[in-house]
Amino acid sequence: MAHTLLIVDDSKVSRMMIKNKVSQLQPGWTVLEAGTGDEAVAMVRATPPDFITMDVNMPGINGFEAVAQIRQFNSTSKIAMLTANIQESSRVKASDLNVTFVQKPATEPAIRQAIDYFLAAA
Amino acid sequence: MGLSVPHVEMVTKLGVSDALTGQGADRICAVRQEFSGVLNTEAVLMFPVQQSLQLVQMMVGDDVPLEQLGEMEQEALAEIGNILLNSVVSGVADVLKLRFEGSLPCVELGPVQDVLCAQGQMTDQVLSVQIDFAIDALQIQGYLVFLLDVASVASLKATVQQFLGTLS
Repeated sequence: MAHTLLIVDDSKVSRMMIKNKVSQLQPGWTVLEAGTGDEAVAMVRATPPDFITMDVNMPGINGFEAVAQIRQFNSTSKIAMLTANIQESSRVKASDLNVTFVQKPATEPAIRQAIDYFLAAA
Repeated sequence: MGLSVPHVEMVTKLGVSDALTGQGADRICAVRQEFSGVLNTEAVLMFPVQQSLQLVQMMVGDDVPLEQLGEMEQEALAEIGNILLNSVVSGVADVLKLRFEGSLPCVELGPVQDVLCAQGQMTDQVLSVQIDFAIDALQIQGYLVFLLDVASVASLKATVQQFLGTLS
């Protein structure tokens, strides 16, 4: 089934890595990109994607703040925090926001973990 | 990728500089990131500049076309640094029950002394963590240095003492 995924990450390299792996694993998916949390909030408000991978450490609002804003008007997009910030406190924040947590780097197992979560929850 | 921490010590910046220069790394690639919390530190990941492109190639694999690799090298290094620095800092934070907020990573290329001595003196003490990145047959050796102010060194010592107290 065709789904739409929004990749939110300030690193262009990370977005490329995630996009390439998703395209290999799920070639039918439409992949969109945002470079900041603010941009992501605007994109989700305009057209909610099915799934979102969200970095944490970005210029402007961070990934957790972006998720909190998104959840004020959208409860359907499934979200995976995909981040290098792997402190226990970050995992707790993700859990509090009811989103899953995937550790960078964006290797194939990491992307597969996010996809499995998206499809299990879809 | 395997990551080992073979050597941790308090040394002067000069000591780190000598070690890197001893490896033939007159010019280094450095990724800096500030972490704030109970103690404040600037973490600096350094490795010989001639190994930086290798490291980038190994991380991105085929995800970044070869013709774009050069132009994206600095951004890729920032991401690699971000992952490695956060990995180490998160480990420390979780063991010591601390929480850190990290800044965005920035990349510098230049002579060791210029990078290490952006602030302070070469005789300043730093917490040095020598890291080997073992990737298949290739070995890349890097240094992770935590630049701590006097108050943060005291906080770190107190926190480690407290942690050790919980073990006994």
